[in-house]
Amino acid sequence: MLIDLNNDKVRGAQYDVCIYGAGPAGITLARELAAKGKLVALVEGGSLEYSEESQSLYEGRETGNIRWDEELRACRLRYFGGTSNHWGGRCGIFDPVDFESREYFGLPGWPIKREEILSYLPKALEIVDIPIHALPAIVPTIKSKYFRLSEYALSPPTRFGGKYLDEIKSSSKIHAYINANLVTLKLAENGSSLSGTEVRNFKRKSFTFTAGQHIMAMGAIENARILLNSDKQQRGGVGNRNDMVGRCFMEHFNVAYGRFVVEDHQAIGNIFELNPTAALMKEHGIGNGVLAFDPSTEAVMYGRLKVLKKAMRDAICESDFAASMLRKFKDVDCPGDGVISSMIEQAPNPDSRVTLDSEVDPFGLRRVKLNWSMSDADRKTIRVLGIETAKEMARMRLARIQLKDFILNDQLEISDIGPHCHHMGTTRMSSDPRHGVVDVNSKVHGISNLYIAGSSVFPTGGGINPTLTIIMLALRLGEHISRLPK
Amino acid sequence: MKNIDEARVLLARRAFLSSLVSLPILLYFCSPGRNRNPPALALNNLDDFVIVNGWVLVKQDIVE
Repeated sequence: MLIDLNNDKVRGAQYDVCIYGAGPAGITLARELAAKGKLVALVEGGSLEYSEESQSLYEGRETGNIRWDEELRACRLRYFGGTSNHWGGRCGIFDPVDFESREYFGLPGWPIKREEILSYLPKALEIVDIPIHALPAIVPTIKSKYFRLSEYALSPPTRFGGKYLDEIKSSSKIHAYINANLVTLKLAENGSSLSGTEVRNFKRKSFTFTAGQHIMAMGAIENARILLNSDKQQRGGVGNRNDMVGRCFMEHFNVAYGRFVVEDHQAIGNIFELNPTAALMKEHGIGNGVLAFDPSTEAVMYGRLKVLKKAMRDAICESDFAASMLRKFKDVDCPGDGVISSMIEQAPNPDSRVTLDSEVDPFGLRRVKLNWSMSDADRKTIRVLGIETAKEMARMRLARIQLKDFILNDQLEISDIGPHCHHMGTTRMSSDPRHGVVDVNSKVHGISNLYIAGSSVFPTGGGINPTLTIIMLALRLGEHISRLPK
Repeated sequence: MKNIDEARVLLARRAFLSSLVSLPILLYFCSPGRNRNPPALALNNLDDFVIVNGWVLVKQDIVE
């Protein structure tokens, strides 16, 4: 059933579960719980299509030493289907080392076993339209102690809103509300459970939602923002007794490492991706990552002089001398050059965090202030991965790599770095409430009926895209909640 | 017959475009060759490796 909170008459209902956020995690949970006989409210702040009215609620301020200026607005989509409406579809599995204790990170890692999450892999692959045997992927091995070829599979990509809307509309067990914005979490008198939530439509009318269990699945930044804003009954916000809500915001860094020339095409081909092994990570005390080697294809020129520009570039690229002269003034990639991009794990850093700004949105909620910070541990991971990759590729005669100055010289700032829009860690999972916001079942510490889904519970980010793990964790949470006594 | 000023503009434009085309050709023939190996100027040593203009190379592969 689909209900537009802006326009439709709303009849009160007592739900078994209220889920806030209709992205991949929220939709997966709603379907899973409905299949197990639960009556579910799926509450989405946006509409079925993009609107500026909804999207503008994501605006905020960036203050960290890494800024993209669009991290808050352009990475996320605030309408039915969430960020799956523009994701790229790359899926993979966390490495075993991501679940081992890595003391050099300074904070405890995953408190659950990798095998427990992977038991949901077949179902998760089906949800994102990947053939069941595609992961773990079978890739050629290279004779290296420190690197291996990456294993991943590609979803078409699945647009969760488009794929599952009809099923949700026709379900008697799922009441999907759109234009329904979660604004407050209300605590019961004892402060250890939610009595309900306040949800408002865009006409500013308020509604109260009550349920046995509540699940926040609005993304790492918004989950933290709503918890922090709900501070009228509990100082610092709901679930924030140990000041961990919003902390350890993690992204994957996209560092442009430099250029490469393939030496052994038969062994590797022109396009390949490398992950470090556990041996390399532990030897150097660094995080995980992927280095992607792509050939530079023909550049597209624009403007009225595009034919002339292309002719000039091709002519210049024919001469190494001319190309190297031009590169003193401008970075130029010639056809056949390979360029190296990356996805680098960020260490959990309490100072990289989401807090609240003084500016408020139209609902009176304080907007987000994002202090996305790179730490010395991150700089070490970035540099070591680049240098060791280059050494290993040269040693194995697979490729020769030209690294950028800021990789080789640790006195230079790491520039030429961007995001991947993988927002993680702001309500991290930990058995110890001093080091996290949710427990091993994704339940908020100290609140008996509030859970969090999505990558905001990740204690570490790994070197892989987060979506498949988000879905596996959602399936795991759905199974846990379905077993709770009514 | 075309206006003299228009002719001058046309001639200047052709001369400019010709020089743009001929300059890369000139540079090509003046270049030291298509060898992709960078000049042998060692900047750093890393065990059995050397870094030359950012290229990470095995030492024994460097041709002096």
